[in-house]
Amino acid sequence: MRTGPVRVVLVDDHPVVRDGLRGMLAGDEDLTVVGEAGNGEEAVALVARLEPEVVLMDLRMPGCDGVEATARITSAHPGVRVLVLTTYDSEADVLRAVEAGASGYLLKDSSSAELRRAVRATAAGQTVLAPAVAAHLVRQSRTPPVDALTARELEVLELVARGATNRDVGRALHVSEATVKSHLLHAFTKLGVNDRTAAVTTALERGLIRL
Amino acid sequence: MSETGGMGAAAAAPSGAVHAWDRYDRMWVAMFHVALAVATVVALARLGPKPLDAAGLLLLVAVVAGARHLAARRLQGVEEESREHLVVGLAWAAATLPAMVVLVNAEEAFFFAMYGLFPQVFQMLPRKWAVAFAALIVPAVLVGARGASALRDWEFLVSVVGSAVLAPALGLFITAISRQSYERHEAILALQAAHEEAESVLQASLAISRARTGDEVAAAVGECLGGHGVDTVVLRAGGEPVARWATSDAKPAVTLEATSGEVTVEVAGPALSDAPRRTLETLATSCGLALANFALVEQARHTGVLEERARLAREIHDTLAQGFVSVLTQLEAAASALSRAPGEVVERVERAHDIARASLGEARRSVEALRPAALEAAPLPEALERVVGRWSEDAEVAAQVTVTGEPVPLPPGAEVTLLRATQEALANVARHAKASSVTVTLSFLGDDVVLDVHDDGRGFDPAAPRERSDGGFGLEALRQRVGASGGFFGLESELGQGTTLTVHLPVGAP
Repeated sequence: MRTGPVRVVLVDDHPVVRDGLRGMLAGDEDLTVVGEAGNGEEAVALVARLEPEVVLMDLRMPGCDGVEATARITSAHPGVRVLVLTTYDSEADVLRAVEAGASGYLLKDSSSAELRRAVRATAAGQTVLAPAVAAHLVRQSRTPPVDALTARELEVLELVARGATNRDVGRALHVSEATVKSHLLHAFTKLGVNDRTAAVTTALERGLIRL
Repeated sequence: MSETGGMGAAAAAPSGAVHAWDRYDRMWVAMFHVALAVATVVALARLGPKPLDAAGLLLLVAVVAGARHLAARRLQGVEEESREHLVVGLAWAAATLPAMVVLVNAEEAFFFAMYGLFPQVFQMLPRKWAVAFAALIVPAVLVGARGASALRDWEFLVSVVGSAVLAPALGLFITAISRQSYERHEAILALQAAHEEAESVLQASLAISRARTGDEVAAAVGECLGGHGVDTVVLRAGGEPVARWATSDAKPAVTLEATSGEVTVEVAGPALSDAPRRTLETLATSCGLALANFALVEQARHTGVLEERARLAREIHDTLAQGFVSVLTQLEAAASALSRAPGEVVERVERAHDIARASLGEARRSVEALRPAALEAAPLPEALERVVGRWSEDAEVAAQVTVTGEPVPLPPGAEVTLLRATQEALANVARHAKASSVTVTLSFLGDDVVLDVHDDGRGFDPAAPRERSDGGFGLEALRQRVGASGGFFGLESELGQGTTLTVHLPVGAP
């Protein structure tokens, strides 16, 4: 890792926002803003010229948007880390940006301390994710009704019925023991039982699995 | 009805097929005429000693045939058993009977033609009169021919009395059968017509219920009634025309109307039969319901749009506008405090800062709530497929993605967390594992979503101190994030047995 302050490029189509971000990063000796771009095209050209450590990338921009710019930057310059700045963390755009190579994302209203910490962490190769969102934002009503056992739960039960341990099941299905345990617990609830023996017996009785 | 129609004078022959009795009737009439003609020829050939010359004979034959023809014509459309029926019948009898008596008396060949009179008796006269008349014919003719003194002959008396009884009985019997047959025939035709009408009404009602606009409703009515000569349909609600249908060659003509509540259905056509009235009344109800339904839907939509606008306006006022006002007042206060009380400035700016952030939070919630559900289809499985596929090509390691359970939209951030975890895990596999295959499993468990990234590489000893300078370091932020979300992050491994990274995240309150 090079010494000296982390070199940062700001990409956002709103000059006021860029100005604000520059202000938030100013005064930190470890960080320096070396350039600003107003759209994706400019950003790609600027990064090619400046080779910064970190790019703070807005997603919604006219023309070449943040996702495309991220893809072009990370494929052309694997050493450059892109940190996405977004207003809404539920956007599918964020996922696409991460898929395109962004190291993480941060909400635009983060405090300057959070922003500085995130830029430093990104420069160090860490993943940055916006703080977990309060539970009330979670859309509760969409959980599907649980009743029938899923194909995977039946697979797990069938292996257990043949005497497999959680570890054996995990190996057979290429998942962790913890995941096997989760599948079993869900199966217990659906079958109305408390342990694996009862689960296997009930599932056999109901003809859900066979030996 | 043909002039020879029916043994009952006015039995209205149903339109359409010729009834079997009509054919027999025609046959009887034809036979009567043939017998009359043959007898006439025979009589003319044997003229001489008989007290009747050729002209007189032909005149009488003409009277018999003409009376039948005129009476049959006159009785068309006349109600059975009516006074008119009786008058015409008696006139026919008055002309025919004496003529026949004279003819039979002059030439015995006319006796055959006399049998042709029996069906005519029941056709021309009301029933009671026909019975009496039928009983009279043979005795009258026989006695007229042989003289009353012949009645003293025992055998002659028996045949006279016998025909006086048999003729009317037979006539009555045939008349009853004929009448019953006509009634059945009519009933069958009426049933067929009712069935066809019900079928077309049903089809039209279905078309009406499927219609999306008033004009489609009108068209359904028009197509159903097209067979009745309807070429224009107008639907009125509260008197105002709301929908219309017309064939291209529609011309102003007779109009029929039917009403269902507020809705009037008006049909017009150049030659409207009376039949559509009942059908129209049935369809009017369907039309009324359909139009009422449209009105409700439109009203609901309109109300919904207005309510939604009002709600949005309220929400913008309550959150964004109020937030901006508060921020501005704080900044104004800060500006004015600048010269007077510099310590206050920081406090004001911080307050403005907090308010702005809270307002943004509100705006986010609004946007979140307004987002159409269709756009939220979970894109994570597809993103995983692409990322794993690309990685597999680059690292030259076989890899597959398995999704189990029913995919559901995930809480904000969860998808990104799982994708990043996958990317980090794959990077570690490429760096250390020397694996030959990787399985990425995404399991939707209802209240949990679970990611497993398994490789069959060399693994590590979990008990041994871990190197933290490489990829494990990249995973640390993820471990913290998962913990903060109330999830579970685990790394299972064993030397020589591969490694499995697992992330469990709660989907939300079940």
